[in-house]
Amino acid sequence: MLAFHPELGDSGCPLELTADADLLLEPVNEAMAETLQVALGRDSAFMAETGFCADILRPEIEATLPAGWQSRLRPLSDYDNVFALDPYDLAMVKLVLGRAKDLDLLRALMRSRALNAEQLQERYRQTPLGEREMFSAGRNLRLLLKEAGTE
Amino acid sequence: MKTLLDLVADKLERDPALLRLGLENIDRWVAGSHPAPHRLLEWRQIVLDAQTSPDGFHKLLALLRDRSPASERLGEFAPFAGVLTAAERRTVIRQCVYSH
Repeated sequence: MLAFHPELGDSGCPLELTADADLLLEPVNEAMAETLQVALGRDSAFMAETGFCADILRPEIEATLPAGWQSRLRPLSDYDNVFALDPYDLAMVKLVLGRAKDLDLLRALMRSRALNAEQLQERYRQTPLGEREMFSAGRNLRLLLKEAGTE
Repeated sequence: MKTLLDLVADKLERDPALLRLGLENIDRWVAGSHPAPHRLLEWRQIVLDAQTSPDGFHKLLALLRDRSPASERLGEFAPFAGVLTAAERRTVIRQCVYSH
């Protein structure tokens, strides 16, 4: 989200507390992922120096992303081969997970209009989900829309 | 399964002098562009209390080991990078399942 809405990282905005980045590298193998996690992850020397850290994701994470997410990746300006997850795909992941911190983030993103309620509903309708995931995401989406007064 | 914060708590318990690393990190991060300076200032007070009283020290250890959402959220900004060695962190990293 910060890649496309850097203002959300300003003081008082929804992502002001983000000090880590989830990175999925391609190609990657377990040895490389572990090496990078040790070098850049939480409590690393890199974090001690900078205050920031990274989580190196494993390819298995792709199973939790909405179908077709690769086709919706958005390139980061100034980088030749770096992409960010589409914000609505990220939102779908958060809707399925539905932890308090996930829903808090979605509320804040909707309030700040970084996420549009209609587009979020549309992505939910278009995203193939298992029965359990569909129930969880649908329940959480209805809750957020009701709170936002858009249901 | 122990988390990184559990290991930090265990190590601080064995060697409270390592608390100074937390304060040094906070100073460095606040002077930089850390996105959550108010969280760091909250941590600074917690670490200072831990340095100056046994009660504060036990509260810090309990906070690091607590699994409640509020403690885990604060734990995301724990300033103890450098307390654990790379080898100590690697044991947790190998067990860890990453999530968003």
